[in-house]
Amino acid sequence: MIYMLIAVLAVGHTVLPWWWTALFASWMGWKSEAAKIKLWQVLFASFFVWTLSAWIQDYRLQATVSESLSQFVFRMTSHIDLEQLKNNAPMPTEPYLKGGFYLPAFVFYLLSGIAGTIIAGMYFFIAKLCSQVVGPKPHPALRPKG
Amino acid sequence: MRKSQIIPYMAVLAFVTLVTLLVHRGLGPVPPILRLLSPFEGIWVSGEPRSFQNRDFEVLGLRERVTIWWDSNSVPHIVAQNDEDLYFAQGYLHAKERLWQMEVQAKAGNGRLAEFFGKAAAEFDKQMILFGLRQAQQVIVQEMEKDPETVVVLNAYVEGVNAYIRSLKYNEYPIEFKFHGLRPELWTREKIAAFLVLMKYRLTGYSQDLDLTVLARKQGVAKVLEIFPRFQRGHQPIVSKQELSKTITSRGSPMKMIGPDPFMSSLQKFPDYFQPPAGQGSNSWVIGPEKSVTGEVIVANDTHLGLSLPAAWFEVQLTTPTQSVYGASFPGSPAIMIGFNSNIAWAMTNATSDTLDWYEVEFKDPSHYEFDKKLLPVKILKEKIAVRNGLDEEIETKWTHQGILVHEETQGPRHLGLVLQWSAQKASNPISNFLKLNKSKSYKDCRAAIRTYSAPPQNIICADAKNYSITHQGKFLKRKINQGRFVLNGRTSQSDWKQWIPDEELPAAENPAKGYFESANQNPVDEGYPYDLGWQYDDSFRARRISGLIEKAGRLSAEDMMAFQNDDIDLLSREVLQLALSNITFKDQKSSSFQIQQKLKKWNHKISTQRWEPIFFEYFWKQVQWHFWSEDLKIENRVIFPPRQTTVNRLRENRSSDRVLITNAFENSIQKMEKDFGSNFEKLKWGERFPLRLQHISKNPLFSQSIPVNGSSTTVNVHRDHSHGAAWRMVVQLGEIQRAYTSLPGGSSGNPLSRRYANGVQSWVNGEFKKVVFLGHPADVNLYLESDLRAQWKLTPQKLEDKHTEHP
Repeated sequence: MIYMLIAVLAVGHTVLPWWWTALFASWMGWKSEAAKIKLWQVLFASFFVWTLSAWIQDYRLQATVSESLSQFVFRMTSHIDLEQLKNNAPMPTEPYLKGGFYLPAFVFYLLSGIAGTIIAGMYFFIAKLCSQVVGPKPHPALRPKG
Repeated sequence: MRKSQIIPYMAVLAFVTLVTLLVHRGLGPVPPILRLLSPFEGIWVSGEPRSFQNRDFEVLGLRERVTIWWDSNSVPHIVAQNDEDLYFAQGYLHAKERLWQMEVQAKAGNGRLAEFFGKAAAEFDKQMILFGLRQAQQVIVQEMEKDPETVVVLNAYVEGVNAYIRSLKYNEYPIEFKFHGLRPELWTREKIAAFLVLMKYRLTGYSQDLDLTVLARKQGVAKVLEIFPRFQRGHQPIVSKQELSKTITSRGSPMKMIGPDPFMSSLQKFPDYFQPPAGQGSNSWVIGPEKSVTGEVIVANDTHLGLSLPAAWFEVQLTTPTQSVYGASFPGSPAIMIGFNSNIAWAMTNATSDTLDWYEVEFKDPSHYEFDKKLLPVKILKEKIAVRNGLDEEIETKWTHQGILVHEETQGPRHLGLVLQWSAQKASNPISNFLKLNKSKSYKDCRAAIRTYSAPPQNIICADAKNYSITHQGKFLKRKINQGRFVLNGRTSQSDWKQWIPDEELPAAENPAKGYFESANQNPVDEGYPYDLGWQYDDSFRARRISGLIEKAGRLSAEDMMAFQNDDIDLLSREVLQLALSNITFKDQKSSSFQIQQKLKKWNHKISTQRWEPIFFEYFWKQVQWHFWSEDLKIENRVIFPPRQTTVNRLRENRSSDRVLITNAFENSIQKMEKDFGSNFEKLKWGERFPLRLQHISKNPLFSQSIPVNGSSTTVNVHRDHSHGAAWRMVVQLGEIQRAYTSLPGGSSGNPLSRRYANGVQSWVNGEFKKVVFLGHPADVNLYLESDLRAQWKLTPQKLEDKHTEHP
């Protein structure tokens, strides 16, 4: 099931913007009870696809985004000196990236994954709730007894 | 559905709506974060390939194919077959590289920043409207539309920008549009005019008339004129009386010369308003054949503007079969403003003359004011400020025949007002002058091209290989001496703006005996010139340093010019410390004060990133000024400091009463520095304490930089207030072997995620220049090696049936 979810999401995501994830997650949410789809599966699929897509896009463009973001983040974080901030003094400068400092870029890939997870989770949850409230009732045989 | 189920259902629906908004559009200041992080339309698609690649674009609206060559310096060269395609392609390229910058600048010039940035920008918009600058944009458009050549160029440029905007899908928007949840708006002639208005505001929008009026009421007119003089002792004009191209004598003035008792406004309170940083200036100089190693003229220019990222200027070459010009253009506007072609070069510095007057007017009723003992009607206009994520505001502006009302005050039965008249509000068409400059084939053409240039006023150098000139060019009121220093009486036609100095009477000179001209925003003339052009010029420190360097050397080369542009010797600190330190004596030679004094005496006055002395001088200079002037020149809670040269001249007078003040200033400086940094001054570094902040155009800290740089506000290599410096450096050696060198604190791209966003910054900081690749003719591209030309973008006319219609 999880591989199928990832595959569907990935294929759709290559041609459609963020709302493809929302649509996909909503559909899964709507069908979750009948098809026994778990929330974690949808979340994982979205996280995986968004993270991987971010990396692919970056790689396709020869890493200028991650490089730039790394530089910006490095520049900003290297300036944080509490003593100097306290004295309201200008910060020291190190404008250029030291080679191989790509951790911020990796964090950004993960942030993209988290963004996808939030979107998927939210729409899954809503659709599931809606299906419970206004959707078709499960077959009597599937209803809990007692 | 049961009633108990409705509430959670509605709550969930509301939550989803909110989050969807956040995802898709952002909410207030919160950007659409999730959409920004989307791999297929957010930040990840805003990157650019590391290296240039050949690309093909199909563009609707082009007549013939245009090629944009990118050279090894990452500078684009637009090669078109006709002028319309040339300016179309320039618009397209500007938009492709700098769309966000263009839009922000146009919004600022038009007083519409709040449409993008909400309530935080509404005050700025309000001021632009209250200064009459939104109306000025309409006047400028009307003036430009009078010139058929300008109209053709504007139309082509606007179409080019819009062709690019129309081709954009969301995922191709510049990152800032995505960040703010905005979409690009189509370009118009009005936006070009708005940018020109913004430049007028930045370059001419400062005034001390209101402060001087308050001071004059306290100290008397004579005292104010003494402390804030028109000409300082030791003043070095751009054009001396002997060099003026023709003898100019005053032929009457619409207003009487200011007397010992000029009109003194009785307004109790003057409005506070944003002023652009004073002294937005530049350096330019030109050396004649007799001083040049090549025997031909060399021109140097560095323009000082507020530095930002992306760079203020866009370096480009424009080429057709009939013209080929290289230089600095402004994103958002066609043509090249400063540059050169195969025949000539031209350079500019801000004229800094007075183009702004204030009037006290008296209302007899809410809609009429008194003028020459008659009542004239007030014109009332309504302007709207659209505020993003907020309530729109409507402002009523009132106009007299002199200008716009900026302040009102009731004094018993009287109702007074303060009116602003400013040449920035008047018609002008600088685009026409730039087009002519770009196409100039000779020195004579160049001089003719600048003749009608009106605003913002500039000192303009024109040069070919053998001849050169400088002109203080602009639209200036025929003022008599000291006229317009204080608030004027708006009740009488004596104060009206009536006559302008004709072009042939503007300060101008050519091929001087001394072999060079320089300008550094100082007063352009000396006492020999009959009209008062203003007084709020920069002191002569930079000007004297430049002329000193030129005169001291023998024959000079382009390399010397580049070295001069990076000169960091500060004449202000040299003169101040030489005069001040000799007045300070310490009995205890082991004291730290004595030690510091001795070390300062050995300093070479170079404002270097690694030195501690410039930091001490900053502290000491503030203290000296405070000790000298805080009693006499205090108004309300602040001190109006005089020009720096006035303070230096006072030091030179060596008043015995000042010795105590100087010693106290020195001791206080040490104490303050010890408090701020500790007692070991020698470990301090100027570059770390006063770095240059290259702020992103919309102040996004993520896309900004902070860099240590040499120089101060009075060195030739200017670095002022953390944010001002040489926004463009250019050296052009004219003649048989034409060579040019440029340096830009940034790059060609406005995309923070591009390698060309800030790629020129470090070499600019190091004082390095790039050798210009200049294509004299479209066919020249074949002459260049692959190492000079890196890639080509082909813009091909798109057929109508392929038209992309995504954008409204």
